[in-house]
Amino acid sequence: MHSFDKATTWRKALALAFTIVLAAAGGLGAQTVLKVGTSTEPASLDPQYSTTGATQQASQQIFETIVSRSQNLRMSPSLALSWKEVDPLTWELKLRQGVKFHDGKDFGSDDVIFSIKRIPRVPDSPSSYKRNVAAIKDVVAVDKHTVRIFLKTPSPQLPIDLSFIYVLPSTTPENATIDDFNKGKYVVGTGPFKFVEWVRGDRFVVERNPNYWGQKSSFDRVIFRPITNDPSRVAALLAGDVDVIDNVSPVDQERLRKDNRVSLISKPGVTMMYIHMDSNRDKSPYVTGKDGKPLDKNPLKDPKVREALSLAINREALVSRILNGAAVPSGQFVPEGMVGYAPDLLPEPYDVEKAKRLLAEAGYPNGFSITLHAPNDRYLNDEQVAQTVGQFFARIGLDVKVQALPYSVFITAATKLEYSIFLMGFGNTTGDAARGLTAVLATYDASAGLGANNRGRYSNPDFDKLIKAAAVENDEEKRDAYLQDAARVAFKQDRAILPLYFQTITWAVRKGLSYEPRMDEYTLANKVTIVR
Amino acid sequence: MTVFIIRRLLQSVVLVLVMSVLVFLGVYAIGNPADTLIAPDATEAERIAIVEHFGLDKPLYAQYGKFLANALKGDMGNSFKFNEPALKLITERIPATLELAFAALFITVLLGIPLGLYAGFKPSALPSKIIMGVSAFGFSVPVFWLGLMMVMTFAVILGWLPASGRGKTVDLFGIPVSFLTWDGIQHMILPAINLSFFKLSLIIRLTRAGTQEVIRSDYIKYAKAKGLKSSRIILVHVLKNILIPITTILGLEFGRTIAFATVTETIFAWPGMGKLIIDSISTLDRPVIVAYLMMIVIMFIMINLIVDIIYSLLDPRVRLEERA
Repeated sequence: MHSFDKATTWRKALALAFTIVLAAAGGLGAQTVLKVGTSTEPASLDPQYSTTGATQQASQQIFETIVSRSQNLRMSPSLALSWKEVDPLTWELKLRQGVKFHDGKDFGSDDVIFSIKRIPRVPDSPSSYKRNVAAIKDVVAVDKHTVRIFLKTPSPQLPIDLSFIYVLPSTTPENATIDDFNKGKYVVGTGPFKFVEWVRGDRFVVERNPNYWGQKSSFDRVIFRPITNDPSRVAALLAGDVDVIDNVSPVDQERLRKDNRVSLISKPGVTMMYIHMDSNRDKSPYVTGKDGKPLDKNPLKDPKVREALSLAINREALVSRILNGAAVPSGQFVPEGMVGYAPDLLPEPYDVEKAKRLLAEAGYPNGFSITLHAPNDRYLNDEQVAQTVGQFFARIGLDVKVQALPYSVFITAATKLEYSIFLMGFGNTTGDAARGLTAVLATYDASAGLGANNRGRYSNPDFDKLIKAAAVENDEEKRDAYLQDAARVAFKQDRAILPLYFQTITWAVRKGLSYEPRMDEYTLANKVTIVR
Repeated sequence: MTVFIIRRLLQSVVLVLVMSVLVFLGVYAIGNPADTLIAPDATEAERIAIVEHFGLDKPLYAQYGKFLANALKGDMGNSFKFNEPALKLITERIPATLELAFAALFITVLLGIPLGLYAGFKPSALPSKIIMGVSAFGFSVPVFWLGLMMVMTFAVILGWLPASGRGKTVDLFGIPVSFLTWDGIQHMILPAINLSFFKLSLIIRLTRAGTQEVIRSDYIKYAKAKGLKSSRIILVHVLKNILIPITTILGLEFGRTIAFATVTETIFAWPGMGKLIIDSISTLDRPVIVAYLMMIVIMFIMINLIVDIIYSLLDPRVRLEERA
C-alpha cells in the first residue's frame, strides 16, 4: 500500500515537471501550427495549371488573383483595387501599391501582364485557364500600377475571368517546368502564406507571410494533410491529429453534432444537383412502354411529362431524409444572391395528383418504363438520391429502374447520349448563372462553345437568344434581367432540367477555432481564426 | 542457374506485354479519360484540344503503338492529370509503400512463426486456443473495418497513437524513411498491424499445421529419443522442414502487400502507391495505371525468382534448372 502511494506521488511529480517544461517551451517562441485535413489534393503547384477546385485551393493560400472572389462569390478588390470599362473593348485596372512578392519583388503592372500572357503557354492541362483569357487581345501598362486590357469582343464577364488569374512575379522564367513548381522553386506569390514544402499524398506546408498586405493569419505555420477517406478524416479530427477538416459527410455530421469537442460550420454551396432528360430526340434508348415494347414517341420530349416528373419529386423529403439536411432544395441554377437568380423561381412543390393528371393529359395515363442512371462515387449520397427519385417517379405510375455506376463509366456514356434520364451536378463556381445556363442548357454547338454539358440536348431558340444577349451585355442590371428571363424559360416554361437541390458544404473545426465558410468549398487557412 | 534466370526474365517480357494490352483494353472499355479529366464546365473547343493532345481521338491500336514505341525508349508517358512522368509519380511513392510492407512482413514473421510453433506443439493449451481464435478472426474480418476500429480505439478513444499520416521522415541514403524517428514509428504502428493482420493469421495457421505434421515424423521421434534439447529440435529440425511452404506464401503475400495495400493506405492516409493508383483508376489516368500494373507484374516475377532461389538454399534437393 505504502509503495503504491509513493509511486503515485512520483508520477505526479513527473507529470508536473513535464508540464513546466512544456509551458516553458511554449513561452519560448512556440509556433502556432494549424493542421488541416483535406479531402482532396492539388494536381500541381503551378497556379496556372489546373482550374480544379483542389488545385485552386492550394494556389489560394500562396497566390492572389487579380480580382478576388468573396465567400459569396462576389467580385471584390484584391491585387486590382478597381476595374472599369473605358469603352466596350477596353478596360482599365488600378493596381494596389506597396504589395511585395514573397521573394521581395515589388508587385506592379509587369506582373499582371506577365501572368495574363503566360496562361496560354502553360502546356498540357486537362482543365486549363485559357478560357479566362480567351476574350483578351492585349494587355499594356499605362504606368507602374495601371494596366489596360484590350478585348477581342465585349466581355462583361471580364472581372469574373480576372478572378481566376493567379499572379506570378514577372521574373518567373519562361521555361519553368511543372516539376520546378511542384518542388516549390517558383511558388512565389503575394498571398497570406509562403511555400514551405509539398510531399504529394502526405503534406503541403506553408508559413505566414509577415509582409502580407491584408489580414495576417493567426498561425505561423499551416500543414494541409490529404485524408481522402471520410471516416479517417473525422477520426483524425477527433484524435487531435488535425484541427480543421473539410467535406464532412452527412452521416458524420450527425455524430459530430453531439460531440462537444468540435463544432460544425455549414454553408449552401454552388453545386446544383439536377435530373437531366433526353428531351430532343424522337426515340430514347431507355424509355419503353410498360410491356417493354418501344413507344412511338419519346415522352420526355413533352414539357407536360417533364413537369409531371418534377411535381412527383418531394424535394423537402429528399433533402431531410436522404441527405440528413445537408442540402437546400432548388428551383433554378444558382442560389439566392448570385447574378441571374430569379426570385420567383421557387423549388417545385410536391403534387402527386397534379403530376398524374399531367401524365394522363400527355397521353400516358398508365405511365411508361424508364431507367434512371446516376453516378455512385461523385456527389453526396448520389446513389441513394437516385434510388429515392426513382421511387418518387414510381408513385405517379412509372416503372423505374435505377442504375448507379462509377462516375468514369457514367460520364462517358452520358456524354455519348446513351441515357434517357440521369442525375447530374454542376458547380457554379463563377458566382453567376451564365456559365451553368450556357454549358448545360444552350443548344449544343461545339464550334461556338455552347451546350458543352447539354447531355439531354434541350434546345429552345428563345432561351439561346437571351443567353447570347446576356453574354455581350455590359450593363449589370440588364444582364441580370436577361439571365433571369432565360432561367424562367428553362425552368418554368420548359422544365428543361429538373433542379433538385444545392449541396451544403460542411467543415468541422476543433472547439476554440472558427472558419468563414465559402460557397466555392475552398478551405482557406487565413479564414481560420482563433476564438476565445 | 543463369539459364534459369534468363528464361524467367524472357517470360516476364511476354507477361508485361500482355498486361499492357489488357490495361489498354480495360481502360478503353470503362470509359473515355477525356470525360473524367476535363473540367466539367470546359467548353467543347477546350475538350477537343485536350482529346487531340492526349491522342485519345486516334484508334486504340494507334494509341497503343505510340505507347509501345515510347515505352521501349523507357518513357511510360506523362500522367494525363498531373502532366508529370507516370514512372516518376510512382517511384516517388514506392518508399512509403515498401516501408509499410516491410514493417508488416516483419510483424508477420516475428510473431507468426513463434506463435504458430507454440500452437503446433501444444495444441490443447489455452494460449494456443486463444492464438487460433484470434487468427480465425484475422481471416474473417475485412481489413477496412479492422482498420477503422483500430483508429477509433487507439487514436480517438485512448489517444495513444496518431490516427493517420506518415509522420516525420528522415532521409536514409536519399530515401525518406519513418522508422528512424519515434514520431514516424508511432505513425507506422497501426497501419503496419492492420496490413499484417491477415498475413499473420495465415502464417500462424501454416506454421501450426506444418509443425503438427513434422513432430509426428520418425526423425523427430528419433531426435527426441537421442536426447536432443527441445530448442535444437525446434530450431533446426522442425523449423527447417516447415520453412519451405512458409517462404512461398510469405513471398507471394509480400508482393500482394505492396500491390494491394490500397485499403490500409486509404484508411490511414498513408502516402503510398495504393492511394495513387485508386485515384488514377477513378480518373482513368491511363499512363499511371499502365505503368503501375507493369511494375507490379515485374515485381511479382522478381519475387517468385527470389523465392525460388531461397528454396534452393533451404533445401539442397531443389535444383533450379530442373524446375524451370
